[in-house]
Amino acid sequence: MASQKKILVIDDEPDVVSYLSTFLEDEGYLVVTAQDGPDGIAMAQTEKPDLITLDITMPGMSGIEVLTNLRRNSELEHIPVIVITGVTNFQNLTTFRGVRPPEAFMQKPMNLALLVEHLQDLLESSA
Amino acid sequence: MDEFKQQALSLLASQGELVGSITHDLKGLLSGVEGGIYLVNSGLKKENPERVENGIQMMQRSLDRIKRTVASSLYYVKDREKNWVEINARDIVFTVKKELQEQARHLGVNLEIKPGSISFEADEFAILSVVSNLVEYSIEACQIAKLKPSPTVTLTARGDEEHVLFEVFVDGFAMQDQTLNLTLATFYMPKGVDRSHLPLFVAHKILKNHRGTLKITSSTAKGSTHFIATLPKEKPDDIEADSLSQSEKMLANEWDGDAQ
Repeated sequence: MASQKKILVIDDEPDVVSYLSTFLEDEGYLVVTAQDGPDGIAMAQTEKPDLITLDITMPGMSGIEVLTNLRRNSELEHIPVIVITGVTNFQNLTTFRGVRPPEAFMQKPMNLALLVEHLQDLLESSA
Repeated sequence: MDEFKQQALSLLASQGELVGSITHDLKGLLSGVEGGIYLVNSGLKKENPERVENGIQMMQRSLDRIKRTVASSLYYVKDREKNWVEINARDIVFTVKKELQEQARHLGVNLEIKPGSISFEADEFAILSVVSNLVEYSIEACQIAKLKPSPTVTLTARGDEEHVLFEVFVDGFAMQDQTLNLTLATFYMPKGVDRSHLPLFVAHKILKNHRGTLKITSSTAKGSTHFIATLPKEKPDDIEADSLSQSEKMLANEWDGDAQ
């Protein structure tokens, strides 16, 4: 039996974290959370999640900086990242500073069916 | 290009940016509403009353913040017609704590209150916006600054014979002199404000419309900042609704563009 996949949710909005965590747990995933960029990077280091959901606009360190940090870390760069953001033109965000872009982008408010699709694609392909 | 056109274009550009960032914020808040709906529906299916209750509270918090965000953007563009009623400062403090407690906890900030019971006349929604804006700004500022391991925001309501005061003491955030001067200057700049200054700008504008004041002091040595919103207890006799927007004032050559 495959082990339970672990997802790290990084978002500064407590209600978004609560919503996403509850939904992902209902879908059978193990969830850990972080409320800002530095905590997110620390949690990724200690928890070694199978996938990360990442907000872009956060106080202090933005999601783009978090992604750059993750991709430049040899222990974490392989972890797939889904950006979940209220930023409208996220497809045009080109400032990834030469690192691999996120595996998927989603807009808030979330389309849960699409999120499930992305999770299945990314987590099955990394199994 | 003459100075008027430059100012007008600059104002339009900054207002456009502000609208963009407010829209972004609203998307996040709508996620809260959706999240609440998910919690309620799944809670009912799983016969989990605690989850249902969490969902209802999530929806209520999000809706309250959506209302304030929309009101703030409207206040920025145009003064809202005031609905003067008698209110109690204690109720304002309790409402703000209820709305922002979860956010503060999530961001590692202690939110404490000292709710003095003072009756006064004001537009209740407007004063709620003032106090919420100051507290929310302070919570986020503490979280970004990371000056102290256990930052605290203390909201106090007190009064004297003629005034009611809402004080927000922030232990965990401080402004350099230059930043403080710039913040105060944005209260008077016709070119618009960015998202980070909007809460303070709106708070100042509402207080000014109530013939009140906003005082800000900050100590980088102590890592603290003190906001004091003061307003008269009684509705001033000479108060009138100011219905012109910034753009309208500029067009009517009534806007004083100098920062004070």
